[in-house]
Amino acid sequence: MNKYFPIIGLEIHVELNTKSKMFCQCSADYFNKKPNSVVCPVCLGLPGALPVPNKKAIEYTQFIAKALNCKLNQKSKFDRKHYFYPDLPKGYQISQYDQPFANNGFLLINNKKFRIQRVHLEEDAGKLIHKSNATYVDFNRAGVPLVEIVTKPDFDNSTDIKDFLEYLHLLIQQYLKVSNANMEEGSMRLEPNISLTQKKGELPDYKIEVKNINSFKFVKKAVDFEIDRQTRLLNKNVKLKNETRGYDENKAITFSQRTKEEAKDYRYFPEPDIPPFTFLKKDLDQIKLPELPDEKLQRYKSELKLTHNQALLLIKDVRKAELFEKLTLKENSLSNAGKIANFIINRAYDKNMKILEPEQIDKQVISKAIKVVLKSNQKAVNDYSLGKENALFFILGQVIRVIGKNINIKELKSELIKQINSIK
Amino acid sequence: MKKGFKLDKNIIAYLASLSNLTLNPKEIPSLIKKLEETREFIENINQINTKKVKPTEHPGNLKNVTFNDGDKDERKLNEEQTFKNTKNKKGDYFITKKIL
Amino acid sequence: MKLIGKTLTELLSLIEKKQISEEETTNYFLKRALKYNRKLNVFIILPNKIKYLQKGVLKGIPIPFKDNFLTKGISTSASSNLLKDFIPPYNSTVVQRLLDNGSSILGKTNMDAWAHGSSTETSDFGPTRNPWDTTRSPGGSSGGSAAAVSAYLSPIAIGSETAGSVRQPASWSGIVGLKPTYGRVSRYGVIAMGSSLDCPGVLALSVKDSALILSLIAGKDKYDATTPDISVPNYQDLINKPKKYKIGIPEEYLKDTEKDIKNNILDAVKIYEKMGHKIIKIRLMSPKYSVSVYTIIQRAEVSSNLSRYDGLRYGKTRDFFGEEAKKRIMLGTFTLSQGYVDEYYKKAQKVRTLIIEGFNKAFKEVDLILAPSTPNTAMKLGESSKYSFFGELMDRLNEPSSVAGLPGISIPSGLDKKELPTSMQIIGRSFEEESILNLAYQFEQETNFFNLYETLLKNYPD
Repeated sequence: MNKYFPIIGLEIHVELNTKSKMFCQCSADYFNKKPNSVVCPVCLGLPGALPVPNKKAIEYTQFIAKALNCKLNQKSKFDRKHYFYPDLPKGYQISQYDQPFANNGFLLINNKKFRIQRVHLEEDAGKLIHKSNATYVDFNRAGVPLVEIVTKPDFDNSTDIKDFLEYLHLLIQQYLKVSNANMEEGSMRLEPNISLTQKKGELPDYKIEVKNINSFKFVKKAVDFEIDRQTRLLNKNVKLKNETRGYDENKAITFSQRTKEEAKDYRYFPEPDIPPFTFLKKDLDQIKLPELPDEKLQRYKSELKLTHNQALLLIKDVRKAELFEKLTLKENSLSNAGKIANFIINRAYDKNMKILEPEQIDKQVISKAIKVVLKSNQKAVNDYSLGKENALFFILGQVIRVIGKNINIKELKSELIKQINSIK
Repeated sequence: MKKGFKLDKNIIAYLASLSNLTLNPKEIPSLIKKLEETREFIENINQINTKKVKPTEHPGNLKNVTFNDGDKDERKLNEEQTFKNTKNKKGDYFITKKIL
Repeated sequence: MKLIGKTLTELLSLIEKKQISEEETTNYFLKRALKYNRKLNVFIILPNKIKYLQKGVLKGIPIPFKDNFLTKGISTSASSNLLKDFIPPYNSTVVQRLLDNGSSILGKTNMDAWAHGSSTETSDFGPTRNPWDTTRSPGGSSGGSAAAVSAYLSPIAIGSETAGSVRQPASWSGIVGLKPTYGRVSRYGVIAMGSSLDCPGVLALSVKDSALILSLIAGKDKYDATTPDISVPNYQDLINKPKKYKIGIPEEYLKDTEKDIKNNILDAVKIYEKMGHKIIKIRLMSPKYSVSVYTIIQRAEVSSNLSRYDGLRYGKTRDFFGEEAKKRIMLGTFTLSQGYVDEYYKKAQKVRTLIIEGFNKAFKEVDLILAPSTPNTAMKLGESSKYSFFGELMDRLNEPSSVAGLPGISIPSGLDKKELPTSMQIIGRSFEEESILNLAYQFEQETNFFNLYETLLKNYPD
């Protein structure tokens, strides 16, 4: 058995939450709208129509790129990328080729540096629905602004990939607030390019693209499956070639979609309908970012003396972080930061961040719920008695779910511990 | 260009597929002849020294042309307009033959 | 009141003075159009009646539009079978601006299909015939619009030029043809051919008329990002103040031009000299390189712009493209494809830079450039099939200025031995249309274009 090292690069697409589409004034809020009702001559690709770029979409792209520590390019332009497909109205996508808005960034995840090759802006295509005897096309999504983030092939395991994606999601959705970044809805899409090499650091001569990973929870599974699949084939001395594979979440496998024997010839050339962009260095330097998640995390720990867990729980929901900062500022006392943090972490909120007062729930209801959960989670109970604190939190979460109402977590926790101990 | 390069049947077939065109086999010999004559002529640009010359990607000096996000949508098409020019309609969708 | 041969400006004045009515004028042209269309095949869409629209400067004058200009609710096909049944849901900006100024739509004129040609012979609806000699082509691709004006089916018409498609048919049909600076007039709603080259243009009997129309259609359009925010001067006013210019004559452009065209231009030079203009010999890159640069860039952009025609949302399927369209798409795809793009497309873009620099250099010595519009006069129908790339060869004297985005106007300069009209063109700096119009107008005032229209219109009585 040979040892293989995974070499994985990621291609991530993020749909921006601008009001208008990328090249026309149609609403970019297309999700769940009546098919083909959010269209105009430009995004439907009618004869004679011309694109004019959305200024905010460009600003959001530079925003994301800066948050990814990229170099923002002073000169940039759009290019046409040609291929024929029913969901591509013009027969070409307006994208960026050799002068994207940004290059060469990175993110630090799990104490490792993952390099970002480029960040560019393009338009989305329409949606296809495949039925048994025909394909249906909806152009509502055609022309929505899409930011493409391409990493270098710095990944070698699925955990880092998942963590990287979760951080990116948090950053873009909650901190920069430029996208809903929802994988199930398609406003964030991941395509890992996966290959294996025998010599660490040496790039193999093929890469396999995996598409259709529709949720965060499938990322690890899909990547691990593919690494495993390629390993088995290479061990059988099968020569692997460039390929596009899809992920089937029901069968939990990847399956072949297209062999890319020749690289597609997209015949890129500069988009003649859109004049190029020149940005002044001082304007690019002046783009101000909010405090980013890992900066906040560090600050909460070092300046406000929160524990790592406390800080993490706060930064993972930026509204909690903002509330925390508001309250600590009010209190004007660093010594109480820990208490305030716990207060915020242990509370429940409605969607407008209004603290919900815990309802007075019948003690019997609580007792019953705890009983039910303990009974069906023996392993967790055992883990807890073996000293695994996390098991308690897990059980706590299950109880809250069963009760289904807003409840004072502190009180519940003590009641739970009481009951567990009484079982022993 | 490599000396002796000529457009031939194979390149023409490749170009046709890349351009999503079907060619009438009877037309092909004449097409190859005309395209090759054109290609031969346009090679004369190689006589011009462009060593330090930058390409013109956009004539004129325009830069940074954009529109403001949220501008009024004055061009929205209604259902009738959207589907007026096609028979490929089923319900609210455009319909095409199944893609494998 | 005899209307025949009156310019747009003259007609508007008559209407203003209430010597004729808007309705009479509109019906007059409609009648002539219906009378001569079968013979000349100028219009592919011609209504029996014309509705009135808003009032305005143009007082209802019916204007023929080349069939690549989208007209809301009216068939627009670019003279191609593929788009034969296409009814646009919106007006191109040029159409809208003229309607807003009170014009009506006389009809849609025939053109080379997809604007691919210089003779109107690649139209899927038959060629247009040259009013001067109906066995000959009126030129193209705006052949229908040129013939409409030439035979006085309308005093002005709208065409478009990618390289030569306004100036060349104007030349072969013996009328005035104005191609503005690239970006001066919006391309929104014009079926795209060469995106970095296409310019809506004006066919007319008089320079003043083209100045008027230009002032109404020019200017920034928020729907076309390639139209700069440069103010539109009152062109008509400006041409009323004749100026003296330094005029450059490029020897390279006279080289393989027919003798009579050359002689007529040399006569024109003498007239200009007498008027006090200074004539200077200048050097410009040989047009044979511009032919290549233009052929490559145009066909590359064509191959891209025609990708949207897949038959799903409108039009028929791609097998309805004619032979010329297929040829151009394939060569365009070739010049952009991997392995060849550097050698063809990118190289062409570099030579384009040199062509632009060549003009910039020339315009340091001279204000305007005078040259033949076309190397030959109107050719017989059927001749074009002898050439493998007819259109681009015919337009070789227009391609350099088109590739550089410069404005140009073609005006009649006389007749040749075959009694066909000859023409010359004046090329100016970017966004200085007032200069080319000014110099052209001086020639018109001086010569009345040798009364060519009177001569021709004897064959096209009311």
